[in-house]
Amino acid sequence: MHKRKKKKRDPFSSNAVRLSNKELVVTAIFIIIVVLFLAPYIWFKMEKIDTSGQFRLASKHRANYWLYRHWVADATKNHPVIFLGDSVVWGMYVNNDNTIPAKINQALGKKTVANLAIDGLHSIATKGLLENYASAIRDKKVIVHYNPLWMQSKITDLSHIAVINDEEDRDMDRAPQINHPRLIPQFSQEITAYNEGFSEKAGVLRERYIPFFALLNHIRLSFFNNDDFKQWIIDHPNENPLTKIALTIDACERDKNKNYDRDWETSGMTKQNWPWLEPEESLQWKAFQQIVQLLKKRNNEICIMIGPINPYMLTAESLKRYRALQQEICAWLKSQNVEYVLVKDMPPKMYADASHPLADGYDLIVKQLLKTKILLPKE
Amino acid sequence: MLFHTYEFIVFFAIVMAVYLPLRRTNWWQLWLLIASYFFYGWWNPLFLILIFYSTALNYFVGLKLGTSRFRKSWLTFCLINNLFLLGFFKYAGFFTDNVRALFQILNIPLDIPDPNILLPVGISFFTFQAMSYSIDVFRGEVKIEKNFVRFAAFVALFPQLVAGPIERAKALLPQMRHKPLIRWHDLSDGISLFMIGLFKKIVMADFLAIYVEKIYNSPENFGALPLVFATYAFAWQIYCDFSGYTDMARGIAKIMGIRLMLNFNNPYTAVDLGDFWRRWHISLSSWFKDYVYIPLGGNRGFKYSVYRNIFLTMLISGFWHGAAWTFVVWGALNGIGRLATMKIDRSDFYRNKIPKILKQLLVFNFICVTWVFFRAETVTKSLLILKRIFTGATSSIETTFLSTFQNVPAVMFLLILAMWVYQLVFNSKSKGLLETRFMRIASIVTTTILILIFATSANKQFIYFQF
Repeated sequence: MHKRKKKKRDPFSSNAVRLSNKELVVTAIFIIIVVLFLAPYIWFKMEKIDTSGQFRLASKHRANYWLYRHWVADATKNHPVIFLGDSVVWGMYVNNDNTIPAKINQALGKKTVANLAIDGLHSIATKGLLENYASAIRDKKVIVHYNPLWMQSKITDLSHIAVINDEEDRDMDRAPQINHPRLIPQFSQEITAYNEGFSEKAGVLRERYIPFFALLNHIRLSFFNNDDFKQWIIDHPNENPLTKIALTIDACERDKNKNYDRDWETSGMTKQNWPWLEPEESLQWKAFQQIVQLLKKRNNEICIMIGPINPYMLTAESLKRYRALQQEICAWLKSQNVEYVLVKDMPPKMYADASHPLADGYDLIVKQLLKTKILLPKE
Repeated sequence: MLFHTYEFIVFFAIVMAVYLPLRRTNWWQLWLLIASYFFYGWWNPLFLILIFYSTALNYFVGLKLGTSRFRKSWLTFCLINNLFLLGFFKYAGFFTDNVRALFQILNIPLDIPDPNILLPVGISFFTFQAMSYSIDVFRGEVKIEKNFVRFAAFVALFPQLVAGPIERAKALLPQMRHKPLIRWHDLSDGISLFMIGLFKKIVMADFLAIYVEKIYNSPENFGALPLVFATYAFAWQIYCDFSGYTDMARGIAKIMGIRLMLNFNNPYTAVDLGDFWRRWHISLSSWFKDYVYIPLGGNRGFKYSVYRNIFLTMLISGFWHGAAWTFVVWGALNGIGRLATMKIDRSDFYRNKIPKILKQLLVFNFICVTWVFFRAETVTKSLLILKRIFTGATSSIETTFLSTFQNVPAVMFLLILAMWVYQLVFNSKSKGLLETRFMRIASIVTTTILILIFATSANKQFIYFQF
């Protein structure tokens, strides 16, 4: 009988894992559709976040943008107004009841404003957050905090690499860090302060555009103390990593005793001679202008809160420059027909530092905000 | 540039975009050379001078070996140059350290300055590859390569440049003489190989490294059992690290239509030490066999000269791995082990009466003892580790047998077990089970998911890059 000669492929390897072209294509499609996209989508739908209590994202979740997307979705369901900003709005030195959104809600007697602020969220990062993780706020009323403090120097503006001259700073590893690096444009030539390696930057884009990696990062941040999975397993030999993962997350800030009463002078802070950048040279200001345009495009009703900045902490020269900057910011917002509130100077004892008020200071800000159109009930 | 980085993905995409249309022309070798030099220069552009020198030297000597009357002199000149290059860059620091220590013992007040020479990545690999060409030309086993670009591309071929496999001229150069033929299944084979290599590196090797480092960094703080577990973990770490690199290198080459040799063949399933060395770093073992062991006399001559040849080959192999006494001891131990077991391996009793699994465990455990020297920073530390293991030392962390086990991460244990069982099945009559469509696809899906989970931005270097 004629034996059919078997076509031989090259000697392969020391394992049997060898796919045919057809199998490879089917496997790749399965991994891309099911693992990278479908499974994270199902997870997102099944995951519940506990938002009972004050609507204020816990500080430990400040870099968990997957969770933030959930947070925005919940906020838009239950609050007609969204408040975006950094630690000034989040309430760095005050407890849950003394943040700006909480005080507005108390004054209005109902849940109106959702606190969507995150500590350290500068304008460049806010833009990234809105573009990638907060599309749910489309058509909503939005109050955006603009903190000019990010324009006080080229370093905070991210347009210049911080040079550490101080030996002690170097020893203590106190190099100025960029807040929310995963939200900023990764390959922009303008943001010279951000000089991570190619792999790091590509990793951020991977997380931004492939839901599986965003989910992984969310799991790592929420259940594994921000540790690398491998390191965690070695450090916790007795624990089953799967039992650490849950589909319900407590997302609210629960620290009720966080009220700080020391003003900036008592804390020993001294006067600063910040140069303040001209708007045309500032990346943060450029990003803020883009935020306004983006929100307009998304059909949002907008109100901008400018400041506060502690004028007593600035030298006369620096204060003069800051006042000029304030005027330019207001002029631009006026030209764009955008409602704004320029936070008035408060008594020196009401500032905790250069930009954060203490609880009494927040009362004064809320009084100003309650007069805005955005918070007035519709007739 | 490491294979498991985004930089490499971009690099490879660009290389292939040009390589695919060029492969049908005569320009493909030049493009391959440019790509390989770019790949190597990524570490340090100065290294390119070295690889170019090594290439030019062996190319020129190759030509001379075809025409000159003083063939032996040319070969000697070539070997001395190659070995000097390797010796200078790799062993100068080791040499001065030892001479300094000797002067101290002899109370000679002479201080030799530290040479502070940067070790070029992969120098041991490309020097050996280039050298093998000259020797083979001298022996008349390989045709002289007259095309410099082709020869340079053979020495610098980027998939295997920095950590092997060390390809022979007779296997690789003929492939470079023809336009590469890339078939569809080369693509799927290459990707399958690359994925398995990636799994070995990212999921296994880099993970095990964390546990091994923890224990080996302060062995005095750990008892016998954690040290044993860490040594077992290191055995799998180095296997996965090195064979993972090779799998990726072979996969990349395959996608480009170039076939590289098998470098690891499930070495921990070996049933005797000879078998182990036929399965571990096959390209290096065969290099030493052809260019050191056989020229020394090989199996010919008296029993004792055979023993000497085996021992010397293993010793030199140890020294090739690194400029430190730990590697010398590692090589010597393997030589002694090989000599001590040669007779036993061939006996009927060992061959037929001892269960295969027991033989595999015996070989694995002996190899693990030698790995202690390979991994520990110094010979003193190696001896301390072995002393603690063999005297059953305890520590304040692990007070009972149970608490010791509880400190071994279960996930790590399961991953090693899974890989070991896979290899045992692969080498058994049940291999067919692994070749079913379901098993192959399930393996790729599982390994891919684990790669995706374990991949972090912090990519570790491959262990063998330092050699």
